[in-house]
Amino acid sequence: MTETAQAAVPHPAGRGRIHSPSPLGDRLFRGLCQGAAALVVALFVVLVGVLVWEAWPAMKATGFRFLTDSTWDPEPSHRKFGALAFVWGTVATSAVAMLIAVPLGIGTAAYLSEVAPRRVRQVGSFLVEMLATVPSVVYGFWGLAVLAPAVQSAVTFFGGPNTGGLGILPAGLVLAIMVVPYVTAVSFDVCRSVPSAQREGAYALGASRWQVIWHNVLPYARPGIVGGCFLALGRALGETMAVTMLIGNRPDIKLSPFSMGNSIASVIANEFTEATYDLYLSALVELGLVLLLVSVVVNSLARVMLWRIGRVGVFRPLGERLRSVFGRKKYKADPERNGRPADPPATGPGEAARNFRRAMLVDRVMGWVLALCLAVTVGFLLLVLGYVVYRGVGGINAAFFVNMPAPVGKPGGGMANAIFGSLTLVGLATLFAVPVGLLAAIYLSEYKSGRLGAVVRFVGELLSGVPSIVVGIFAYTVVVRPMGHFSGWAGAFALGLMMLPIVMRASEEALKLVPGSLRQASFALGANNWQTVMRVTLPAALPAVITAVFLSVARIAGETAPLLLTASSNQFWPSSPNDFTPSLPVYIFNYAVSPYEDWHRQAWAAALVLVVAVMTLNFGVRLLAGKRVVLAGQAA
Amino acid sequence: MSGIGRTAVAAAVLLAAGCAGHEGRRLNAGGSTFVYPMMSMWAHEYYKAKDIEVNYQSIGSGGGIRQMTAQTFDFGCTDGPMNAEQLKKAASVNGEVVHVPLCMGAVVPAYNLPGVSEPLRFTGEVLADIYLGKVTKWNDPALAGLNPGISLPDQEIVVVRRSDGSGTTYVWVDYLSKVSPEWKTRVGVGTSVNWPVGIGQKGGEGVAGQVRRSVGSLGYIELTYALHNDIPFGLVRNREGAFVRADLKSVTAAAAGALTAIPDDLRYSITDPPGRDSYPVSGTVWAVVYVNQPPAKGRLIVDFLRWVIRDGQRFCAEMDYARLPEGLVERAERKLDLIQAGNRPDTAGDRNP
Amino acid sequence: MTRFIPQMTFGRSGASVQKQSPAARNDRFVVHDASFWYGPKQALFDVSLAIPERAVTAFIGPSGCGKSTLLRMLNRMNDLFDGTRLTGRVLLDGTDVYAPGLDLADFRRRVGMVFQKSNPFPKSVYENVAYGPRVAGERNRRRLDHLVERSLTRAALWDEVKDRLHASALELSGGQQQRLCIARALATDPDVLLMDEPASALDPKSTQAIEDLVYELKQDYTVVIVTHNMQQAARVSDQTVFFFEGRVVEAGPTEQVFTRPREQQTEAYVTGRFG
Ligand SMILES: Nc1ncnc2c1ncn2[C@@H]1O[C@H](COP(=O)(O)OP(=O)(O)O)[C@@H](O)[C@H]1O
Ligand SMILES: [Mg+2]
Repeated sequence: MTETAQAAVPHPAGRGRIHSPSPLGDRLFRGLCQGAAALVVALFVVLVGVLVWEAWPAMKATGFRFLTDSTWDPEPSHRKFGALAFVWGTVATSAVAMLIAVPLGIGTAAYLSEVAPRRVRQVGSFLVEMLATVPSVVYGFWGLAVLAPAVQSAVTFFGGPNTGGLGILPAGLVLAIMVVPYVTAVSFDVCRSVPSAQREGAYALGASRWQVIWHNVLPYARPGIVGGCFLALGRALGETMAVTMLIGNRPDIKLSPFSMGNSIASVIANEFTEATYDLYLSALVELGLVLLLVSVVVNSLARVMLWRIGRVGVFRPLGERLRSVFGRKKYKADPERNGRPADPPATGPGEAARNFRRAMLVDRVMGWVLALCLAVTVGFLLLVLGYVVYRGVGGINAAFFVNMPAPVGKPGGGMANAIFGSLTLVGLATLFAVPVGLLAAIYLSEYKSGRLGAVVRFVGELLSGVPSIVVGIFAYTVVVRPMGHFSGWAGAFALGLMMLPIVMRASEEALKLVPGSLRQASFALGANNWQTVMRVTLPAALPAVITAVFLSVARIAGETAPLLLTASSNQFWPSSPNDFTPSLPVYIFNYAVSPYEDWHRQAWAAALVLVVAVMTLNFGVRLLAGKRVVLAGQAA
Repeated sequence: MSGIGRTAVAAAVLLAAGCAGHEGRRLNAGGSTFVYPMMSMWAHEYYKAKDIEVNYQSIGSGGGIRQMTAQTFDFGCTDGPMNAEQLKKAASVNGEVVHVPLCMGAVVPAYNLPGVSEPLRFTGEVLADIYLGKVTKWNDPALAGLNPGISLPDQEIVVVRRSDGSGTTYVWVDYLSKVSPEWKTRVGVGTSVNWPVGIGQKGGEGVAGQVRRSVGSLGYIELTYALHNDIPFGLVRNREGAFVRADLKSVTAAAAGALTAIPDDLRYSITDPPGRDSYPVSGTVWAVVYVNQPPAKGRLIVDFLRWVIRDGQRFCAEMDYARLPEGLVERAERKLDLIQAGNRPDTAGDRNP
Repeated sequence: MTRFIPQMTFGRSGASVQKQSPAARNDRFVVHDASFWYGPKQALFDVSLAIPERAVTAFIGPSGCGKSTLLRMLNRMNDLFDGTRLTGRVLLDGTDVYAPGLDLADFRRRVGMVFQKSNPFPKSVYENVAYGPRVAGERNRRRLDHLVERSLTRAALWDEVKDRLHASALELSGGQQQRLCIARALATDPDVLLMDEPASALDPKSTQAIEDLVYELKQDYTVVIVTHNMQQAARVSDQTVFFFEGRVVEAGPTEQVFTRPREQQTEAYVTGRFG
């Protein structure tokens, strides 16, 4: 980086003649960037195409019954595939999750942004982001071990049936805990971006803090908050591991609060590897396609909402719009009076004062309610983390880091190969995602990208909303099958595909933060686009780009579902990325479902290592990089 | 072996992009999750003895069959034999497939009933009725009649079963459909079925955990899960009318009892076998492997599998798996001989690194 | 124009600043020895001044000298910043504005504020003006209608917006938006109106409208206006306070400050030799 920066200064030893920039290099570079951008679109198109192709036999066999029938009977002589119950389970759990997560997340965000002292705000927003980095397998096990028994005792107390604490409600609850950080983080960001002039204007009119939050900050931030909620909804819909452990896996469609269900992602995860005939497999892929469709719709809505932030003025509050349509008669001037106000109507003595006193009371109460939201959100984090530490710390020792896995009963087994494999997979994924994502971002921000740019941006958003299990199916079909075996390449491709949109979006934001004056200065000195990007824009944006990369690494390091279908695993050292490649998340999963206490301990130790690693990465990046940099990095 | 040393060496190897291959020293296999712990033990011991790596991935029996068929694995492991359709598909890819039994296990009805200390007695019919949702209470006359002297609570039976496709499920429903005509017509046999009732949990550990946590629950799990989790499990009445407790001997007995009935291709089911000592809900893990192999790889596969069914059997007991009866080992070995016989020089090209 | 007599009060509860009979000089605000810090940075040094009733007081001085800070001190808007500190006293009608237990919301309604950059809420014109009364507990639709019309009329905006009261305030022009903000401040019946460079972002015509408005308003209100623009100060104000580097250099009748400044710095500034 320093080299590049120095290179920007004309070499003093030069003979004074300036080489005019080569137009060929510029054209090549432009082509490269354009190619990367097109690749992003192509990948998504191919992904959809592959899924449709694979799902085609099932579509042909079941037709629309797939979505209207709730009988799922894969028994080889029955072969009935109706997904309605799974669609219901997916929607119901997500709805429960949103009902809890939206108020909680917005409350937490409002508290952090509008009420909390600076210290609390910094620590609180950091903790909330930590909550987003815990791998979902961990939430699942926590839910089973801690939440389900608690739910069951509550249900028993109220005379409900014995379901072992499983069902739509507990699954939705864990989902809520998983998506609260997303709602909170986005809401917090948009609340912070509400101009302080808005707040000051309201305070100057004597509004209480709660009135400012309720009448000014939240309405102003609403499009962004709604967008954040849709993003969270997208995640909830695609979540696999935690839901499958808690939902009860019963294809019921019931409205009782104690009812169990099953979700699309959970059926795929449960049955994909055991699908014993082609139609069955195809039906599972079709489930994936349905899930993809739902996520795409939800994410598109989210993005449209987020885009509206920029046009707050046009966005009239819903209440006002309703009032203007259905509401009481609007106040119209009386032309007779010619601009002189009518006589004031009689004052109801004390009425306004009473209302005002009530407003003040509401202000105090809501202050506490918002603080409670933060306490609950952070409380969840501490509960989950505490549990991981409690289960995992016993399994951490030197052997864990340096030894190979050992069979049950043999002491001193470790996960050296899995740690190494995870590093390899994440490293390769980064090598794939960063150049492509960065070049595409350069294309978006540094060239007049027009139509293609809009398409690339939109597809990027869609890609980031593709559920990880669907990415796994895709990578399996296009890499594992043609290659003939599982491999690190396939795993890295899947992980890279998940990283790509994050890197692209964050890099674009980072490049946009580079002041335009810097670019213009470079152009004014006769540099062409490619020189300007390489020597001025990119070096200036580099810290933010690096931050974004690390944050996205943290986000994919805990992924399990796609790796099961791609890298598989290995009890030994992988000989090359072409070999079966072990990883921590897959080992966590395999060991956790075994009957042996010894392996359980190691699984929890691995979970602890993973969580600590991801958090260290997050924390380190935040510590090293400036606030501005992190903001850009988080843009994704 | 020094772990740090290995880490450093392997890292160096990888970083130098030196794909120092493991050809000739590595087998890739996978499938049945049930046999995964056993297999990791075998792989460990075999590596110590022969310096050959056997990488086994527990991705489920169906996955094992699918990946073996696609030649992604050198061999697959499955808790249920391949069916005609699967064999036909494999034949179109790379020809004939043989089944080699490796070891056996029992599936037991485990329950959580505090206050009941003696093991409960079940029959196949009652178990089928419970899983059909016809017997819903612990103190149902059908259950009480089998267990005189045990006071069963007036409590709902919380039925727990696997949610993922599984060979354990296959064994369980295979047994139920042998003893209950209604089960056979309404639900049938498969690694995943359309369950009339019950909470689904992922994996044997999921079911075991659910049973342990939830009072009044009943679930089917592999014997090892019951033993390692200290979950009580019931006796099941076999065909001769004896209530048998699942243990390693009663499972081996089941296979021995069924030996004469085992077909030539070794695709058998030993649920509901004859013999007074036989435990009726037992299953086998098979290795499935193409007869047609490149010579070097064929040799590796055969050597390993032969070791497993001979020397490897002595590790079974300590892992709570049941060994193969002597007669079956010999028949399995004859299958392995087929693989070597299938070597053809023109398929020498190796797919794997 | 008839004199405006406040007829309505909004929930003035016990702890609020009570209206008191004006002191001898009819000073509304009195500031005693006030110093102010943003964190470690001191922005005001021992400022003392008085702001007379029903007159326009102008704060002038070079940019960054603390005019806005003092203005924001008067209605306690500085409370919104973390880590600020104040010494000295600020009295409104003889009551300490920073006394503990003061009802801040009620106090701020008595001291309206108009900001340098107009900041209408992204709501309708009507809702903008009705905001203050609403948060004060006014629910009666007819009284609100009345207040909105009266405030807009006072702010000389009524004729321009009477046909689009329910259109978004952001569709108004810049000058209209600023007058809307004034109307919004007037709707709570303040005694004092603080204006921080209200016309600095406006074109000459809108500036003229605002200046006329200020002139009108002083009939009924106590107005404090911060301005950069010497002519403006000279045109609209009765009293002028000149600030320099966080200190009050000179305060007095506008005419005297502009024509016979006592301090040399003042003279230099008003004659345009620096700043
Ligand atoms: N929110 C703030 N935080 C820190 N310093 C501030 C803040 N607002 C103003 N200042 C500083 O206080 C001093 C006075 O500012 P201000 O009152 O805005 O000046 P004026 O309005 O006369 O231009 C300036 O040096 C300014 O940098
Ligand atoms: Mg100012």
